[in-house]
Amino acid sequence: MTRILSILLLTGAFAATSTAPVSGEDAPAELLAQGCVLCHGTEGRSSGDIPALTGHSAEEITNAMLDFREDRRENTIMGRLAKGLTDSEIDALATLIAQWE
Amino acid sequence: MHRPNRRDLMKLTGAATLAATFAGPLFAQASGRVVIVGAGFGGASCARTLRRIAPGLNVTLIDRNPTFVTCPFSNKVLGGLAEIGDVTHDFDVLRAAGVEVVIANVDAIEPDTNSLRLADGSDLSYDRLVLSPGIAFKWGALTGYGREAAEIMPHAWQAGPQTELLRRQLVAMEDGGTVIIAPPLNPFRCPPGPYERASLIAHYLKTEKPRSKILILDAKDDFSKQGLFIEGWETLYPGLIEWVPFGMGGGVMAVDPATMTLDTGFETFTGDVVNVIPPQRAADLVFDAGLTGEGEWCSVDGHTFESRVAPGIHILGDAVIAGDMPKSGFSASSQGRACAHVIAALLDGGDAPTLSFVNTCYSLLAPDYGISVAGVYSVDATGAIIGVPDSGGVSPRGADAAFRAREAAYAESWYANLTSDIFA
Repeated sequence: MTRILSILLLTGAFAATSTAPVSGEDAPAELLAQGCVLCHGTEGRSSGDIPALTGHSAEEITNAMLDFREDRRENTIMGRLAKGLTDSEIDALATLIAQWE
Repeated sequence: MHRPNRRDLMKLTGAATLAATFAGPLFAQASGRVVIVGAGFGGASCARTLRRIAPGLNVTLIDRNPTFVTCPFSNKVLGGLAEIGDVTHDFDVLRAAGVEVVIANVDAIEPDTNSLRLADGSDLSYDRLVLSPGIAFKWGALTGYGREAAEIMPHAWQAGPQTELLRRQLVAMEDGGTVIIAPPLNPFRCPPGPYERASLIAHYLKTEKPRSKILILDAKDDFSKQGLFIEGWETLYPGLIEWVPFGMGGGVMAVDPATMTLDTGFETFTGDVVNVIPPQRAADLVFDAGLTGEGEWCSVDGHTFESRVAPGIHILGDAVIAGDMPKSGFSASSQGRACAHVIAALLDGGDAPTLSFVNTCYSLLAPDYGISVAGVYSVDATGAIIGVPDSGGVSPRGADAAFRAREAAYAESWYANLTSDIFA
């Protein structure tokens, strides 16, 4: 165990290739959307009671998310999640999700 | 004919964000080989996402088992509400999606050659390495609880044969028996898991063996979603479940499988079925390679999920202390997807994007009574993974039966959608 650790540190065999992104930028919409896919299904095609995210316009998605975030719409969990998103993140997600059929 | 690329479309549409309009893969130019160890929620999500966003990459996914049995919903199997097959997933679709799935044990990481040594002696080389190996149990941390003890007092904290063993024991138990569950100190995989387990075993006992009892001997003084569980137990299973916190003498120090006893130092308890959930650490693969540093879990820079000990190696899931993110399959899947975006960007010659993560976990107290926890996470300047302020949290207390039933129904859908996106 110690030998491998010292090799890792001394030879720098793994070049420090981590490049931190420009701070202050949003995560890309495709990555943010993964957080939706995990519950709502691949490209919003849901199996079961969680609503599908297909067939909605960007405006509908944006309004829904803002309503959840501002406690204007009844929900079990979406309010807690929407409160974690900024306006620009919601906007980017809505644009992408509107593509889902 | 020249295939339209991003530059063409930008000229046509003048759109600032191309991703929504461009139908091709995000990182079409990315090339190289990514090797991922661990075909669970973290590793399999990373592999599937890489194939979707960077089809030019070679993706190899290694696991010691030919199928993945999920810990999530394994408590339903224990409660007689599902079969082990319902929580078992094969890798056929991953293979069809272009992931090279290798069933093998990994012996060692070989940093000087950017390769892995497999148990059969062969080497696997990589351009980027992702490790999502899960947990190991600290055998002997509870005196008397070694590997052999787990065959009599199952942990069932890695799903599969252990789950089936514990279920058989519950079925064989006489009415009026006592089931003891002994959860460990934090951090451990799936903080609400032991208490969902108590709930679904209680559901089984209440119907089939109503004179039986469940005793939880806890190493802790509080637990995840505690208020919600206690409220639910009082509604659903009054008098059936007793939780003994550490401060009231619940901390187990030693066990004796031969007599089915647990010793807290104050008192000895005897169970007819005993589920010990032992203390845990990161899996042997990363622990033995020194990737946990001076501790027992891996730490990563949240900007890329690269190990803080070994930049260039990405580590995901339960093996990692990921800041505010809990150890859950959903967290691992979220991390795996983010990691895929990082790797694809780097191998495409670009910079890692800003990352964002989500955790959403449901616990079933009964088939029609569900509760949830949610969180959204970002990365601060130091690479720490932090919950976005004023967001996330658990289900409300005092909600009515209809609310609990909706969350239970959503839990079923959540499991189906999550596992389908990765494995189907």
